Amino acid sequence: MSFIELVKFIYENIKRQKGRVVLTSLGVMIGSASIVLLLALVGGLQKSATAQFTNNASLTEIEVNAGFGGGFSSMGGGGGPESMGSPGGGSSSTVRTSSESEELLLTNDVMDQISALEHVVSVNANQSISGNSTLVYQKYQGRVSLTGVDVEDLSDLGLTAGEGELGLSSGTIVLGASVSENMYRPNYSGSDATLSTDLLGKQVKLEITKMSSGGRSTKTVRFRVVGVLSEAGDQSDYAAYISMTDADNIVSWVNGERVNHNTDGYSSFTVRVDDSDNVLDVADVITDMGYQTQTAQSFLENVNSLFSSLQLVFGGVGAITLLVAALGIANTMTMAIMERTKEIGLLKALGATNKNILSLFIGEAAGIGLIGGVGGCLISLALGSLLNAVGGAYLTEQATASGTTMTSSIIYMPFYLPLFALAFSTIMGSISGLFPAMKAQSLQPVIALKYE
Amino acid sequence: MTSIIRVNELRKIYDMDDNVQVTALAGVSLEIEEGSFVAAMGPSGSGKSTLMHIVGGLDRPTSGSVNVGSYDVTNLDEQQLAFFRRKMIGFIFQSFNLIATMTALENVALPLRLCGVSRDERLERAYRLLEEVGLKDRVYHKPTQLSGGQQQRIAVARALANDPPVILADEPTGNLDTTSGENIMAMLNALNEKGHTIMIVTHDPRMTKHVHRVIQMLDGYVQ
Repeated sequence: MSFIELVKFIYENIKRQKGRVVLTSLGVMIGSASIVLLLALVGGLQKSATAQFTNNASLTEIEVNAGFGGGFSSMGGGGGPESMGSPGGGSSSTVRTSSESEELLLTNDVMDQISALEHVVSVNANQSISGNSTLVYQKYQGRVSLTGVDVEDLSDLGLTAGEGELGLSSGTIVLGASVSENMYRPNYSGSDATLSTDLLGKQVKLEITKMSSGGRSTKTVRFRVVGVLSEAGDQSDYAAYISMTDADNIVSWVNGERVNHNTDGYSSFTVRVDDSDNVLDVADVITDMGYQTQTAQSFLENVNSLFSSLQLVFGGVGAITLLVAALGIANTMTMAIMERTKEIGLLKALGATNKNILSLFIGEAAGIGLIGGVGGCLISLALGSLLNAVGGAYLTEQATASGTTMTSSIIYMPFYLPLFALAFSTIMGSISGLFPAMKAQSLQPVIALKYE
Repeated sequence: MTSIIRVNELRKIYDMDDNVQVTALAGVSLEIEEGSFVAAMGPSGSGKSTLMHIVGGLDRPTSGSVNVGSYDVTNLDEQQLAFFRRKMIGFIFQSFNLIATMTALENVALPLRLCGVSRDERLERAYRLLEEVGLKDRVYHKPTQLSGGQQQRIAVARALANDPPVILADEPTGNLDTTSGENIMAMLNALNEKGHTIMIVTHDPRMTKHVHRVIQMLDGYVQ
């Protein structure tokens, strides 16, 4: 019998036992649909979790901090609240430390060295300002993490404007998305205790406080707000950026001496790499030079490996359902072979080979698996779109209500996922049919013919 | 005349439970000439059906040999036996053994289908065979819509699908009324005249008038 003839024969055999096939394949449908949906659900979660990294340019960024002594092992999120973390980088990134024991400063020379590395596109310096920085507007005030940057446009650091612009010059300031809403009137409890005015274009004051042997002193600098960042979900929402010139003036005042980046170094560098594939390699080189590096990449790797194991667990749960369905197929085939023992005997008497019988019954089992798989795919595609439509709308509403712009879908179903489920249920069907089919082919024709 | 079936010292012993052995064939030797029409007769348990099954390659003997045409049946493997049955043997059963969900035409075409004959060719041949057995206006009927005699005629047509030289019929008239039985026997006679060697198993003495030779069996022996 040719393959096509065999397939036709199997199709006819399946057709004449519709009821049983439908019931059995229903189990496969539920099994394969649950596998696809569970995996797609994990996929959707993973997408949402990693979206903030893939949406912006931070995947090609490395934040470099000064190298510290050997005892220093790791820190989360770029240090304590006073030290400014990576602008636009991951809020919690993996920190690599060197084992050098002396402090390695981020001087202009180091900047040149890093700039010279292969794949490095640009290196920008950031200067965080130690001492208390308080932003003041009329009677309102709020603490900010103040960072000086040596770029003329903050978009070079992967930051995006919510309103206004990102160009920085002396005397201008760009605020993080949540800065203004965190400003309040001290010792006041009226309904206007928090700031509701949009600060864009307004003149604001920065009050820098330092403690010294002479006591507490405060310096006030005036800035004009030229831009507000879009919400990033990390600490850049609470940051304020000023030009490096202004930052140098403030730092010089705080330290009591003129800042010299050649000897004192910068707080951090933001290194931009040509391709996200090269980020970890470049970060390794910089770590080997003795500096700490943080990348969204390595964080992303951790997230992805977490979701991979989650996928394994969820896939496993779905696989158990499918396993139960497989037992159903095996049961159905065993019953079918008992019922059709006489027919098997007849086929053999008419010249069917053992191989013919084996292929016929494995084919029927595979057919049940295929039908179930197709059904499962259709179910999961339909349920997936429904979940995305209903749940996605809900999530977007939630996101809008809380002020974030995250557009998330609950289900992420790559095209190969249903195809994989289809192939999996078909193969599983054939395996379930294997033993019953082997039993069928080994039947003695004379005994099978006498079977009632 | 040459012998088409040669059976030599054929034994078949069934192992039942509790170490009890039942001897179905106790050493049978016989030859059946090409083109002859023979009937194996005897009471139940005389071994006549077992003999036919072994000759047709549906069962294996405990010892002895069977040759059909150029085939040494007892030394064939499963695959070779299947091809032997296709080429050499047409079976007719007492209970017809038609597949209930298939039409008369599909039932007759089934052996050709197993041999890989194309759909058009096998349906055409099946139609001609049904025409020969007088059922050309019943080709699209299912077996359950037909009488026992008609069903057995379908089975005869099916046995002829591959045009085998040997036709083995196990109680072909056992489930039929007298008239239908006579019809089937007449049909077998006609086939025999066309050159098919036919062996039937029966315990109905009235059938002996149709055959050239009666092989009388008792307790596993040919008498």
